[in-house]
Amino acid sequence: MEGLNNLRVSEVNIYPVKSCAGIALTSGRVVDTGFEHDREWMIVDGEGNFITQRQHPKLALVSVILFPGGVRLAAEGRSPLDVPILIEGTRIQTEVWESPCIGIDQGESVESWLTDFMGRQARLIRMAPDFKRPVKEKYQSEKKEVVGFADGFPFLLISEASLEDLNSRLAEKLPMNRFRPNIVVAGGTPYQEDAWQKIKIGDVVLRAAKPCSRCEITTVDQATGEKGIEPLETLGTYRTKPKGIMFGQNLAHEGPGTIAVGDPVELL
Amino acid sequence: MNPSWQKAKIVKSAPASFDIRSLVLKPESYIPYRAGQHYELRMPGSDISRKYSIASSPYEPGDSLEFGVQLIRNGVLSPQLWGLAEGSEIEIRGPLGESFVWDADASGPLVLLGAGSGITPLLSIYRAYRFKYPHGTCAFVMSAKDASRIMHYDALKDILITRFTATEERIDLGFLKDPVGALAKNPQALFYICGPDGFIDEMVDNVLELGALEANVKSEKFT
Ligand SMILES: Cc1cc2nc3c(=O)[nH]c(=O)nc-3n(C[C@H](O)[C@H](O)[C@H](O)COP(=O)(O)OP(=O)(O)OC[C@H]3O[C@@H](n4cnc5c(N)ncnc54)[C@H](O)[C@@H]3O)c2cc1C
Repeated sequence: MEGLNNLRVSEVNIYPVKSCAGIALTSGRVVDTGFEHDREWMIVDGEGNFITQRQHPKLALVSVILFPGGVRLAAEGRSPLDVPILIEGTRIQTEVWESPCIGIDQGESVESWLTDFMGRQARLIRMAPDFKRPVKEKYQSEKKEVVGFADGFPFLLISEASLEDLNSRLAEKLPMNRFRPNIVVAGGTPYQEDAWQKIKIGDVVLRAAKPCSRCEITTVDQATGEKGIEPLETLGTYRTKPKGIMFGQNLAHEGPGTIAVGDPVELL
Repeated sequence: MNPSWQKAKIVKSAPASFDIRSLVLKPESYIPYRAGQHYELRMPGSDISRKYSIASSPYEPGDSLEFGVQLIRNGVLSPQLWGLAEGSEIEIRGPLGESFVWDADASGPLVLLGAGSGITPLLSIYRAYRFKYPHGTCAFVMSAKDASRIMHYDALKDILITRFTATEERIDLGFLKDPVGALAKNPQALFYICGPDGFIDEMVDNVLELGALEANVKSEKFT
């Protein structure tokens, strides 16, 4: 029977500050950009270029806590900093992978906290409330989806089975956090998400938008901020497609709702 | 596998274009590599590393490696690499990269499509291919702002097919039909594409549209 399977959501994660540590949820509210608060904030350098773990792997060590009206940043050996949301402030024009974005500078105290932590000038911006970033035209549906500061799409989904297959090829097993997914699915077969087209989780219908091509951030140990060489080397031997080394599926959704750990995944 | 960090000496540092510097390194221990691979580079004692594609050919005599480093204003490592004097030492780890290698048995036609600093691994592949197959068919297509932005332009200008975006249209499907269209229908032809994300996204679609087989198309992004 179509749709009958043993697939369930096993993790829901958000990454409120792009490239900092994530937050595991039991249930995530889905808004127009994806999970609420996912990649709502981002770090930029003095010229407004975004900075990620690719340039600065130690960002993995910055933990993030949401509180009503703001975000708290913390890292070992430093006093945590509460950053209340600034709705108005300096508007910063930036880009995420050639897609223009406008952020609001979140102030000097977080600028000095980040600059001190990173050893280079860095500011925290939050997506401007009056700005909507469209998914790249080529990958949009007629729904004209929008996204936060994520690389390109509202969600990244990966099956546990895909990671198990990868781990069977690695000398040292890696945890799922290397891949920074929003939704992890238990059950089924390795790389099943490659072939998915439309799925339903909870009350949310999602469409596969583009397989996820992986970068150096997957080589950063999220617990230590150290950069290694795996899993890219091993993935490169068997997961290479014309557009890169693929692991996971990017999704866009049809409307708001809720996705929770334990929810069945229905293939439409 | 799992190469570790080692020391390397800068034996030559010279401008290779307006914004690319050619660095020739002699590693303490030379490890054979395949065209298309890269190394990680870092300043001695630093934990900030960046990847750079090897531009030299694995068949060149000697035990040195050439890299082409584009200067990124405001960047962390590239300005430091530009500032290194000949004779100084850095640390390198490699060779790395399994997804963009050219296999020396591949005697069929070759299509190289690059933009900007994305020329580096293509240069290695081009040099290796010419060494192995001096009469093989190769289309080497480059997009750049102008000729001054192409690494080793003087040495390459007779063989490159170029589009200079300062004065010409960007490379698109129509432009590719002539140099690449016929090759794309050859199931032996291999395609290597390197440049910014958007360039890769478009060029992969273009060559597939022209008939290239998915299994024969590879890309490398610097991001
Ligand atoms: C597999 C691989 C191979 C690579 N090969 C080469 C190579 O052969 N030659 C080469 O020059 N680089 C190459 N790179 C890129 C290189 O690793 C660095 O990213 C680049 O040199 C910038 O490092 P940086 O420390 O100077 O700047 P960063 O401190 O890393 O970056 C500073 C700012 O500049 C932006 N930026 C980074 N790179 C670019 C760019 N290319 N164009 C515009 N803005 C940029 C960043 O987003 C950031 O905001 C390669 C990358 C990979 C992953």
